[in-house]
Amino acid sequence: MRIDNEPIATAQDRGLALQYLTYSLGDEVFAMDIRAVREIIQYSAMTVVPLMPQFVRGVINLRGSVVPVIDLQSRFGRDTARVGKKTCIIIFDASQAGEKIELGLMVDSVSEVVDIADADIEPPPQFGTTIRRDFIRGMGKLGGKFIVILEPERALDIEDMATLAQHA
Amino acid sequence: MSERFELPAELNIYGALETRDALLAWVAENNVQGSDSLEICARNVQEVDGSGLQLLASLSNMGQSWRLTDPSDAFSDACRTLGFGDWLEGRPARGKPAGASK
Amino acid sequence: MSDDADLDFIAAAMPAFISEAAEQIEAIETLLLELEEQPDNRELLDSLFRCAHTVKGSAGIFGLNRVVEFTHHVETLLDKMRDGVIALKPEISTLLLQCNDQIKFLVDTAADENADTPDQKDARADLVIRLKALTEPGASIAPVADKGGAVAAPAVADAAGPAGQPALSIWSISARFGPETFRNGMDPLSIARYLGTLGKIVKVRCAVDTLPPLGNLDPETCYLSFAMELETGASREDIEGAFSFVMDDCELDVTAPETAGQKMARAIEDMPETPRLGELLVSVGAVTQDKLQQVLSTQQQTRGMPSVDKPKLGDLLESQAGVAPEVVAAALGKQQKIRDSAPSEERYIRVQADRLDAVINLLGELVIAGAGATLLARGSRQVALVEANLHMNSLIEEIRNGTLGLRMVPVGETFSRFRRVVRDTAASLGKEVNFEIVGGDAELDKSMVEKIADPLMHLVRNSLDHGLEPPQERVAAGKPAAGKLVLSARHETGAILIRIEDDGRGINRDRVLQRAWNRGLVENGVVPSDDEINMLIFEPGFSTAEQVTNLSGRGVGMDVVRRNIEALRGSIRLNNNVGKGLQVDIRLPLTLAIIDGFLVGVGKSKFVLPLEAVVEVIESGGSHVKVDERGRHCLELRGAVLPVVRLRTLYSVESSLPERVSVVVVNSTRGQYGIEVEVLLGQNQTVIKPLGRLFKTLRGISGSSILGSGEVALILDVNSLAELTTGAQTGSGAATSLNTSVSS
Repeated sequence: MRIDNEPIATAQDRGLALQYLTYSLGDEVFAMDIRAVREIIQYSAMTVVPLMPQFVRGVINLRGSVVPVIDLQSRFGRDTARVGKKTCIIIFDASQAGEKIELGLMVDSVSEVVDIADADIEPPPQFGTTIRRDFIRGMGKLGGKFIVILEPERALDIEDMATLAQHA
Repeated sequence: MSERFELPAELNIYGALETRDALLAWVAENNVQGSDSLEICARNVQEVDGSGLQLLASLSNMGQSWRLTDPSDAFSDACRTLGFGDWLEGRPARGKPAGASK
Repeated sequence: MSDDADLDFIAAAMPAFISEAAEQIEAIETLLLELEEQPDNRELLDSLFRCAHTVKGSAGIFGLNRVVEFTHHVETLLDKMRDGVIALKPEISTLLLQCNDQIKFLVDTAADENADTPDQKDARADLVIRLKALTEPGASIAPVADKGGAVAAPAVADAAGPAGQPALSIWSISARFGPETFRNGMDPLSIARYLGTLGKIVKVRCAVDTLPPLGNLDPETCYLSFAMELETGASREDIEGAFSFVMDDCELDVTAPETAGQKMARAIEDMPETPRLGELLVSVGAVTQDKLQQVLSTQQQTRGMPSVDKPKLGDLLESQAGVAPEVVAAALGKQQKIRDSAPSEERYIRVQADRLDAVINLLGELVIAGAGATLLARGSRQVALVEANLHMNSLIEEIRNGTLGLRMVPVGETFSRFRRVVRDTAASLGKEVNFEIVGGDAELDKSMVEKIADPLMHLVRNSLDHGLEPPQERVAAGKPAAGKLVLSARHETGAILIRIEDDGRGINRDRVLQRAWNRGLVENGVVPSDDEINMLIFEPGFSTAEQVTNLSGRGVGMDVVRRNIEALRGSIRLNNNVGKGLQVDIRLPLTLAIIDGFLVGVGKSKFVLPLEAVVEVIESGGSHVKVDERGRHCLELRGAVLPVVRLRTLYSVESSLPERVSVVVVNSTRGQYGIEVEVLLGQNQTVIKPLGRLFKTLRGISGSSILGSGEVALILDVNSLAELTTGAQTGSGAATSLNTSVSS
């Protein structure tokens, strides 16, 4: 499934509500700003890259590009994810400092795209989440529940992850 | 009694539009008042280019008589170089298209 | 006047302007530096003027007033220099270089008013003052006398014309300027002024017949034309040169009082096209058809003669037909011009980098698809199909070589930029430096060249700052007063070696060690090897500079240099000669290449070895691998003992052990060694896909590749793989598992 992204300008022009892709890890629901999402693909055979930390699942061939896949669960410090029937990989734009980078995110399942208004986003809680606070952009209120909106720039900061790899 | 129009310090492309508008307004005003010869003063002119001189030439071309007073060195120099030496001779410039040799 | 469509167009065209202006600005700097060596070179001065003029003109189109205004002042000075009125002196050279910097600043910030800080404005104003001090009366000649009557006094030095007093003649110049003239940044007045500097304007009249009334006039449209009589010794070329930038838009007529012969010669010039000499002359009336026939038949009669004795047609025309020599010359010149102008003058085509990248990516996919097709063809066992496939693959290979070459640029272009830095830095440090660039035509992928520029600059500055000694110190040490700094590039297989070499003091080993102890980088009292001590300077937070100079000391340390180079998957090595100099070697892989590889399998993973590194393959060689007394695996090959790397254990590959394992012997910078693998899969052509920054610390692997089957294989870096093993053997690094399994 492929999601066409509108250029960032128009999304902002639409006002305060942004669209988010929701997905699950275990029974927790997360959300990610849709503007960065390029496509969603089924989990497929991966090439393991040796000597990398557990959260780097490997690399895949995406139409001729070699894209690293991160096990998000493992990145959050939990056990490595198990591959289930609905496991997919979210391919998103992780460009940093003008360098175009694509990363794959392995998640248990992907749900729908929702609108969450800025007003409905609260700052990450001081305590209570098992995820590092700086990985969270905010808590989005959706249908009475709160879902964690990831901050990819921190949670999936390439420099960070690369440094971890050094000490793997 | 003729009114004076002070040409700006920069009589060039950057201010051409403004200068034209100012000049036009002034000319219109004076014509309404029935002055027969307009005085255009160039003592403040420091920078001048073809587009600036062109404005004045246009006046001549449309049959508006005018007289140059107190030209600055820069202005005189430019007039002479481009072939508007007539203006410097203090005679009211009459509209007449100068023939171009080809 | 300008509506939104215009603004959009300008906005879209702005990047092109900035990049083209940047080229001109770079050229200006190069020319200025060249001029310092050859101050009298007229051609360089002309080129210099043209560059500045081009920048000003284009800026004018975009309405970038600040650029136009400032460049105008620079242009005025260059103009005077061109005329020989002002001579180039070191201070002027420095001033111009600074002005060029300012122009660069103005172009870069053209779109952003806020970037123009008060400091910059002051600096700019200061430069203008200095420029005017040189160009205004006192230092040169006023182009126009301000006594009434006489117009345009001739320049005192023989401007624009050939040296020596040429005969003065009166030229009639009439120019009708096109409506876009002002918008293109040009000005008839300044052209007239310039003509005035070529000689004496005897008469000039400005025609305004197309000028509409003031109310209908578009002040930015040019309606002017002038007719002038100019008494000058300048050539037609010089006169027409004044109009070179309005040529497209202007109707120009330059007539010289001339002899009949000259007139004919000119008529020949003006003709669109005439190939044959005889026809040429007949058509201008230089010779009658009959006369021409006579001459031609004379020529015919000489056909049998040896060419040395044969009279030339031109000579015959002169002697027999009485054609004036200048007419013949014009005719012959015309012929030559027609022949010469046939091939295109365009040597370069500007291509958008994105489009080129897209093509190269497609090419990469083509290589992969080709590999897939080859697999299928082989499987089909149809000879014709296999052959057709081979043919196709070889064509693909040719295209690949050509296309990859398109992204390569010679490093020399980047290196040349350093000349300026070296010059200025050496001057400000009071040091004398001979800067040499060697191997500038070695090519590197464009993106890599851009990324390597900053680290190189830092290293160069480092040499200047810390490496090279001041002249007195050098002389005292028995060295020549001027230090030597060489920046060189050369290709090694699959990589490029860039070397910065100086003959300065080198790295002070003891001071570095002391510092390392102080900083806790090395345990107190422990003395690592010399090589390791040298590499300490790349540790973050390290600096042995006595003063933090504002050139290379401030936080932009050597650690950043090393990181940048490693981000390009390169390596940096030091060769230190205390008291004699330092050699810094940077090796960069030509990552974006498609290479020929040897595919091997270990467990479920596939790896690619660069074919050029493979020496031999020993099938079932695994059975000969032994463990030495230190627990290291090795293989005896024709009397030599080679260390062996077991990929399986090194990379903790999980899967069942096969019965037979093989060894591939490879060459590396550390010597030959063997790699134990399980499956030998043969040669294949591989597109190298960089793994990206996420994997930058990964050792032993230089990239990835997509096989014909769609799988991703990892490309082994034989050099760092070798290091990994020795690392493992000394107990550090991740591959301690090497010591555990002994049985093969």
